[in-house]
Formats: sequence, C-alpha cells, structure tokens
Amino acid sequence: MPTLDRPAQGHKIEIPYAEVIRYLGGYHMEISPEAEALVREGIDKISAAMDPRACYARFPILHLDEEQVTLPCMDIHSRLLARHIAGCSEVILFAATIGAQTDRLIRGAELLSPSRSAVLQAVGAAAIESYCNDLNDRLNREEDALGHLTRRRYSPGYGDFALTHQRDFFRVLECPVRLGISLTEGMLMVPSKSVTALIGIETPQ
Amino acid sequence: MKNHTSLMEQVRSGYVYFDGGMGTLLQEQGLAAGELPERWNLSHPEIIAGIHRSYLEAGCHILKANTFGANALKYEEEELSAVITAAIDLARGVIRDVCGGDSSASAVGSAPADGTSACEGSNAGKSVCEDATAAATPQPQAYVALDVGPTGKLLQPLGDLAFEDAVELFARTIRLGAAAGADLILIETMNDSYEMKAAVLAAKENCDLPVFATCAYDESGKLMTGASPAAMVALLEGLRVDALGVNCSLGPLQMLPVVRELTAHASVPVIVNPNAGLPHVENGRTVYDVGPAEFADAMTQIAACGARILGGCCGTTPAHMHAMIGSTAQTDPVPLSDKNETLISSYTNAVRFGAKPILIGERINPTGKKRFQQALRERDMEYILAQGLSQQENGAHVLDVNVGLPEIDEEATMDEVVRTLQSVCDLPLQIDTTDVRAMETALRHYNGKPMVNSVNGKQEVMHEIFPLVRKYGGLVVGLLLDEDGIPETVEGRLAIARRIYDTAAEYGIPQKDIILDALTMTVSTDDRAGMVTLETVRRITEEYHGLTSLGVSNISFGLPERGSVNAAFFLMTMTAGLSAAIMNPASLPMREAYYSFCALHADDPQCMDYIGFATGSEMQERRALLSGGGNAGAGAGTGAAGANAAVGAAGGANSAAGSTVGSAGEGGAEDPLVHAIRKGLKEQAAALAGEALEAGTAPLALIDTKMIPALDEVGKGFEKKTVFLPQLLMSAEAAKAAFAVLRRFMEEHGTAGEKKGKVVIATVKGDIHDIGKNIVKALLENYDFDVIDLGKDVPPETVVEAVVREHAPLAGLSALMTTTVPAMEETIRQLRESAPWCKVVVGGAVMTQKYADMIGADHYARDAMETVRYAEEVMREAAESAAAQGCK
Repeated sequence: MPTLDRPAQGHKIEIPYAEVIRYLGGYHMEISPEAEALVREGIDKISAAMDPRACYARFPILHLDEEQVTLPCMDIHSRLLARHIAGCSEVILFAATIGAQTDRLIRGAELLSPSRSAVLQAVGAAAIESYCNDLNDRLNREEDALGHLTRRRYSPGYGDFALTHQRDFFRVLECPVRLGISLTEGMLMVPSKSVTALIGIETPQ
Repeated sequence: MKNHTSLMEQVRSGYVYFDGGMGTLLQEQGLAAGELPERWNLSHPEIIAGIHRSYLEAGCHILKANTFGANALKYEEEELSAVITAAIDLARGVIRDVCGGDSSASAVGSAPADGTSACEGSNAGKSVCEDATAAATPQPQAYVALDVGPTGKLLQPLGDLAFEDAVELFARTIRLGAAAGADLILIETMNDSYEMKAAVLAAKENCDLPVFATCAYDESGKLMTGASPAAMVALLEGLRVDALGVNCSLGPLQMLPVVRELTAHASVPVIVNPNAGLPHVENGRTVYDVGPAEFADAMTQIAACGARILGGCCGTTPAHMHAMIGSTAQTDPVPLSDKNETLISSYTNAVRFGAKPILIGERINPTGKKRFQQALRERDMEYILAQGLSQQENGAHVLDVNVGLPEIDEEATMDEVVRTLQSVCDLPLQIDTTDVRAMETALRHYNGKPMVNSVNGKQEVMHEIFPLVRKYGGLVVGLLLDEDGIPETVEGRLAIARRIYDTAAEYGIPQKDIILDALTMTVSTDDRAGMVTLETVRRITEEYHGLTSLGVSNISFGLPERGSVNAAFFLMTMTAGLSAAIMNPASLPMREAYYSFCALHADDPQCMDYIGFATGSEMQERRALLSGGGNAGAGAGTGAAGANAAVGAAGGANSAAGSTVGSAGEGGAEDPLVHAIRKGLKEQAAALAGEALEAGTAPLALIDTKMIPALDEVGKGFEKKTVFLPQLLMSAEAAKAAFAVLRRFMEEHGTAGEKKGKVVIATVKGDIHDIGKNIVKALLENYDFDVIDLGKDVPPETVVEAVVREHAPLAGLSALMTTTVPAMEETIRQLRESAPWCKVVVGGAVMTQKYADMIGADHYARDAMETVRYAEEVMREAAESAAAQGCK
C-alpha cells in the first residue's frame, strides 16, 4: 500500500522568491518594486492556498539493462532512465501535488489580470518543486540512515521516459483517490501543479 | 413496522453501533493486493460470513455488507448483481443465524433460536442478542447496510467523470442493493463533496431506505477537494440524509476536531467510524497502531462530543468494537438537538446566516446592463466569471446568479454559468431565476447548498419551488408579495411571511431555511417606503426570529447621488436586524457602511475587518486622488508597491500644471499616463486617460502619442530582456484599462472605429498550458486587435470552425509540449484545407523555427511582442489586398 505524505505539522513549505523570479525569466534582471510586490503577494496567496500531499511506494528492480527497467508494476523502455539508475536495486515511485485550490486561483487570475496569473503560475511551479525537494530530502535521509544511496528524481516525460507511464504511476499509487490528481487523455495531470517521479536506490552490500 | 423506521427509532433512543473493518481482515485471510474484495462474497462466503458473525457477537447493530467497491466501473452488469446480492444475503443470513427472527428483515424481536449460544462468545458489552432476549423497549435489532464507496474517479471539473454519469453509476449499485433487501444505504469514505452529492441523490431517487453519509477528512480537517465539515453538514442536511459523519483516514483521536465541528452544526445524528490509528508496514504486513483498549477510550471521548452512531473502519476488528461498545454503553448519549442554524455552502466553505449581515453580490445579472447581455448572448463565460471574481475580491460572501434574457436558453445557460463559476470561485451562489426548469437543473448540479431566489406568497410559485428545495436543499428567499401585489402596510407583509413559513413547513422545510425579502420600494415616489421596509425587517427579526434580506439600492431610484441614500438606508436596515443585503460590492459607500456597522455592532473582533478595509489599496488610492486632486494620484503611488520618489515628482509637477496630458513630456518630467502604463498602474492609467479626454485631447492622439509609445517602450525592453515578464503584463493591463475608457468615450461620441482585425488564438489539443497564449492575448488586445480566445486543449475542428466563422486573417497556435506538436500540425493542415486565406503564427516553449517550418506554419514568434508585430503585418497585408480587390 502506498504511504501517504504531508508536510509535518508546523513545517511550512517555503516558496523561494528567487526561484519564482527565475521561472518568470527575471534572473539577473532589475525587478521594479511594483513587480516585486506582485510576486510577493503571489507567494503569500499560494502559500495560504496550497495543500501539499504525496504518496509513494517502494519496489525492487526486477531487471535492469541498458535500455530496459522492469519493476513489478511496470515495464519501462528508456535508455536515459536506465543509465540514470544504473547500479540501483530498488526504486521509490512517488506522486505529489499542491492541490486544486492553486489551479482555481490561477484560473481566476487569468480572467482578472494576466500579470497576476503569470506570477501565480510561476509561484505554483516553484511551490510544487519545493515540496518535492522537501519530500525527497526526507526520503534521502531515511535511505541514508540505512546506508543506501539515492539518485535524483526522474519523471515520465524526461528524455525518452515516455509520458504514457503516467498511467502506471496513477494505477500503482492510486493517485485519483489518494491525492485527488487525475490524468487527462493527453497524460497531463490535473491539478496542474503535480509531479510524478521515480527515485533510484542503490543498496551497497 | 418497516425495518428502517425501527432503525431510526433506535438511533433516537441511544447509541447504535456499526461494525468495524472488513478489507483489512480480508487481507489477513489472504486477499491479494489488487484483488477485488467483493468477489469473495461468491468465492469465500464462509470467510465473509465469519467476519459478520464476529462483529455481531461483539455487539454491533449494523453490518456493512461487503459491497464497498461494487460499482459498474469495476464489474460487469451480471457479476455486479451477483456480488451485491450475495453480500446482502450473507449479512442477512448471519443475523438470522445468530439472532433468529423472521426472514424478511433482521428483526431480532421474538425468539432467538440458536442466537444465544453464538452470543455467549461475547463477554463484554451487550451483544445485540442479549438485548433482544432481555426484551427491553425498544428492542435493539441488527441491520444490513449496503456499503457504497467512492467510484475511484474524480468528477468534473477536477476530473473527467460527469456528474450525471456518477449519479447513474451509484444508482445501479443502489437499485441492486435495495432489491437484495438492504435495510439502509451507507455512503462512506467520500473525499469529494460533489461525488457525495451524486451518491446521495442516487440513493434518494432509487430507494426509500434511510441514507447515512460519511466522509473521509484528512489531518487538515477537510475533504481532499476542500470541503469543511460545516460545509458538508449544510450539503447533506439539505439533501435530507438521515445521519452524517466521518470515517476512515484517521485514528479516533485525530478525528476529534472534525467530530466537534460536525456535532456543533449537525441536527441529524452524527456517525463516527475511525481507523485503528495510522497504518505502517511491519514484516510486509500492514498494521494499525491503535489497539482495542485505546480505541475504546478515544471513542468514549467522541461519544461525549455528541456522536451517537459509532463503529470502525480500516484496521479495526471485532475486538475493537467489543471494547468500544463495552465502554461507551456505560455512558449516556448526548441528546439530539436541532441546532436551528442557517447554513449555506459552496464546495469548500459554509456561510452562516443570523450573525453578522451577509453581503450578496448582485452584479451577475443582465438587467439594464448591455455589456452583460452581450456576454450572455455570446456565451462569453470569461466576462461573467470576471464579474463573479471581482465581487469576491470586493468582499461579497455570496453571489447572486441571474442569466435571464428572453432570447437565450436559460436552463442551459444557468447550468453552464453555475458550473463554470464553481470551477474558480468558492463563494456560495444564489440561484436567481423564475424558470423552474433552470432552477431545478442548477440546484441539481450545484456543488453545495445554495440560496434559492425566490418564492413569494403566491401558492403556485411555492408549490413549484418548495418540492425542489425539499429534494436538493437550499435557503429560500421569500418575497413578501402575492397575487394582490406588494402590501403597503407592515401587517400585510407579515401576513404573507406567515403564509410562506406555513407552506414551507408543509413540505418539511423548516423556518431556518427561509429568508424573507421585506422588499425595498422607492422613497422618491413614497415618503413612507423606507419606514415600512425597516419596520417589516424589525418585526420579522423580533417577532418571528426570522431571517431577512433586501435589495437595498432600490430605495434611491430617481434621486441624485444615489450612493449616499443607499449607504444610509443600508445602515438603517442592518440596525433593524437585516440578515443579508443584495448589493454591489464595488460600491465604496456601501462597504464603508458595512464595515463600520460590523465594528460598531461587535461583529468584528478587534475591528480587524474594518482596519483591513480602511487601509486597503483601494481606500488608499481614493484618499490619494481626493487629497491631491486630479492626477496627483500618480504621485502617491499605488499603495501596493509603496511610494516612488521619481513618480511623486512627476505627478506633483503635472498636477500643478492642471492639464495633465497637454503639458506632459515637457521639462523632462515623464508624462503621467506614459508613466502609469510603464509602471502598470491600472486605476491611474484609467483615471488619467479620462482626465485627458475631459481636457479635450482627442482619443486617437492619446493612443498614438502616449499609449502606444509607452507600450512599445516596455515591449522593447522585454525583447531586450531588461523588462521582467510580469512588468510587461502589468503595463498591458494598465493600457487595457486606459483603452477601455477611450473606447467608452468613443462609443458615446459615435467615433468608435473598427478594431484592427480578428485573431483566433488557442492552445492546441492535448495541451493545457496556456500561460503563453494568455500573454499573447493580453498584448494583442492592447494593440486593439479583436481576439477570439478558444482556450486550451482545443481540437483542430474548433479552431477551423472559429476561423471560418469569423473569417479571421490570422490564427495563433500555442503548444508547450513536444507531444502536442502533432496536434498543432494537424490543426494547420485542416486550416489550410478549409481556410486557405488564414495565416498561422505558432509559438510556445517547445517551438523553434525548425519545428515551425516542419509543420508548415507561416510564422514562428519567439515571444508575445513578436506575435503583435506579425499580426500588424498580416492585417496591413489583408487590408491592402482588400483595397486592391475593391479597385477591381
């Protein structure tokens, strides 16, 4: 059964201002006070509206060669993924979201103010990344304590890891019921600020 | 006596106990992961029966048949029928075996046969059978619940399951369960209010059994899709369920806050079926961390909060139930009471009436609004949604929704507007229509418990509307008029009020679900109009303890400076006890009256709301405008971003000069309108444009010499990567606000020209990323193009249809993902076929010149500004070729 995750009580997922600016293409740019105020307001709004939750499950790698990764629950043909997790014997699959309210805020802002909607899009992206980092850090520490090494998370849609594997993630992790994420025909996730990924675990003998 | 009548009597007389977990016990018996548990009703009936038997022996009253996942998504028709019938039969059979009784129901009643021996295994608490033999009154019985769980799919708009399809899915399960002889319907583990509503409607429409409804709340105390316990109480009591509550997700102690909120608001009995704490994996087995004794202690606390239907969910066992029954049975249940509380709800929040006055936004209404009428005719949902959202920003608590226009299909439009509003706005809605079909469809599809606008003293109207409210729930507005019109006297209006209350009661609708509109008449035609309304409000409040609402602004028709009269009257009505006002939340005087009243009336702790209002950006800006006069507003800054010294100087200098635009640019100071656009100050840009027009500047001159140069400057900066994207968009919005002022002026003076040309834009099929497309739209609108925005995930056929219909010279397509480039290519192919005149510009994160060439686009635009420049080029060519054609 997948394990559910939420940030520990009192632990707030930070949305870094600099990351939001970077998503908006403002890296190394002079930001006017008006635009900065808009970004900071966006961070406050999404911070208040976000409802981060995730679920994850751990599986042995049954088979791994140069172009094929076989898990008990899915068969993946992907050279890049195979290379990325070469030497691993297990994986953690996870799905994470910051919830539907963020999408509603963005949709509302689209109607009233394109600038605010662009900012909220970027803030939402920074927020889900930040939560994924937070979750990954905690999982890494747990593995670390067991003497295991972890690889950076890798998502369907990266390189030749086909987006159609979203279906497998959704089936295994029961995303609709557990997290309220659903998958469109085009393999996109709703709410949009959601991530699925795989983490390779190396267990040195 | 019907079995379900006795169930509800039993609930009223004391604790009723559900059984505990089924799925976790089946896993222990070897149910494999991914295996459908309901199949065991046929393949392992003895195991299912054994579990039922141990729960019954532990003293439980209600057995949940093993039907949790039995729905038509998971089973073919024939198997579905077989597993459900077998499930009910198994539970029923065990009750008969253990407790005796006749075959038609689970009544324990007369003579337990071999039941007593089976019950001897139970050595704590009172087993059902012992109670039966003790012949106490009323005799507890055992019941079989058809257990209905979630479909596993998300409903629209979050997911892809349509509401009516969900109702039909549940209906199939419920019809089978009722036919198999279930005693009640238990809808459980729902984590979405909308799916819960679909299931309850299916139950109500397909059987007459009691309906119990429990949701899975998480640690935040909300459903996964956001509903609070109070919002669920509003929704479920509106749908007339027999009991409601919480199950699964959490252990009993973590559930306490949710239970307290449920029992604080619910008038129907509250059900609590927790998990045995949180699961963890031990040696490959899932185990739960709360044992029977600890569980029993926690359930005693839960019972003390007022819950009276108790049981367990995942991880709980007969031992848990046995311990729980043993310890709670020694306590007296908290008496059931009508909380007499008026709640309405959206899909997330409940709004309570009867405390501080509620503001109902009136702007979603076409009456007297040309622009709104046009939006309705063109199905321009964005415009309508924007009306809703801006009212929410201005502090409305509820939105009235009226879409009545003679030439449109009101039922379909109302349905679409309500659903669309609910996809972005979490305020409860007031459905405002005289079309009964439109009312029913809206009430059915509304996610929550809405307000219903309206009935009046006419019998015919009440007999049409009250059955709908009885079925779907709602707080009904009752207008104090009848077949004879509007009574001029207070007594006359009170008599109608009484009649509305009485007729509602005949339909089982309590007084708390009626809010009376005392009717505001115009004071300019009748000196006493205001006093009669006020006195009616006061007497309904004091004598009937009833709720009242008013459309306040009617009072001032025909008078100058209506805002002053409205605000004063509003204050008087609130003082008389008004519960809700239908008003324009954008009106500052009305909000001043409201926030002041709440602060003075002890409805605003520490005056926090008042302070928030009085120090908000809007008030600041108004103060700045008042104090500086004219465009000094520019000098004061926006409030949002704080003061800016350079701006202050420019503004101050110009305000001294009096004429803002004329003197701009001279002496080195930046023109204030140019400045406002560059900085993205919306309100100021609009105000300055208005002033310039008043001062006699020609609109086109203003566009050419100020607005376009300001936009170009920002646009160029963006292209050179010196201007930040949000800044570009803020400037675009400021320019748009100024354009709107100009356009209105030109329309009033009959000088409005044609827009520059039509551009159809869309994010292609399969792609839901539309940020880039929205930026392009904002800029194109700025440059006065007529933009037809088809949205995101748009099929090729829809793009073609729009281009052909509008005969648009240009289509803009956006795609963010490589996987959707083929959809873009297909769209272009179809456009070439059906609309050969149309140029196609493409853009988006994955687009490159190479890709664009490959899929046959006319132009690749690197960013939004480039799209604007290309659009200008295309329109110029189109105009030239049209002119050339004209010469021939």
